[in-house]
Amino acid sequence: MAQLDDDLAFILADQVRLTGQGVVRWAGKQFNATFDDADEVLRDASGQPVVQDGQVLRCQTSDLPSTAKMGDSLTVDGTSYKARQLLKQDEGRVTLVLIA
Amino acid sequence: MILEALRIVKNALSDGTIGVNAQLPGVPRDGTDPQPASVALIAESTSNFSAAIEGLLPDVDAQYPCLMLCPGLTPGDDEPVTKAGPLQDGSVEVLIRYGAKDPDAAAGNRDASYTLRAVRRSLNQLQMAAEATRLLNGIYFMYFEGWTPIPFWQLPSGLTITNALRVRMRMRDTLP
Repeated sequence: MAQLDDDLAFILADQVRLTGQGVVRWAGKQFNATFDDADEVLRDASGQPVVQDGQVLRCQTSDLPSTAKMGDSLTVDGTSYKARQLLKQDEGRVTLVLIA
Repeated sequence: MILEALRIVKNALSDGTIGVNAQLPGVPRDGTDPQPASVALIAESTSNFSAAIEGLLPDVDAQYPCLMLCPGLTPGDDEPVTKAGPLQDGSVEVLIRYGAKDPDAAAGNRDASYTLRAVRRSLNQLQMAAEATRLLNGIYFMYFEGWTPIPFWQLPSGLTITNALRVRMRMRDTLP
């Protein structure tokens, strides 16, 4: 069961202020995005802590391929990832993409 | 008593005959579901740092999937004293946490579910095992009082998948 923390988008939005740029290649498109790789400690269904590796892209929604969806393969600076979640922010102009 | 419960379960799960990896091939699987990968690390919180602080940590990445054992969060029941004698029986809760990393979220949940069933089968073997397997430091595991499956869990932001099984064990101190 994937559980999306209600505050996750805000947590991630705060995280990505700390990051640098990455070159993204996604479904034939190439664009720059803010990239962050930061761990966080969460509690799982048993109530015990888990160190969760959180990798996030912050990009202009208009830069994304029109077909962008969860599960897509992409690269950031040559490293392969899958898009795990797409979260629109700022009236939809910006999208946070959770990748792993 | 908690230390002994943790290590008795850990030793059983690690055993080549009754352990979880020995049980995995026999777990019934739906359709073409493949057999999950063998558990690479089984650790408990009185002898392993990661298990002690109860987190699934990046430094065990190379040893996923893993089983991390720690005491459960529910206190044991009060033990009624019905006759004069030593305090020797008690219930201990052990949490058996499964951790894995899988880029395929659904496959990760599937493997977690099958692996936890293998864990339960291994525990059933422990309950029927010879006394020597169930005795440590004079503390004897008598039987399981119950078990609770914990739902598998993951966040969309990462690869980590967890699942757990909580068991309640009846223990006796034979050297009170």
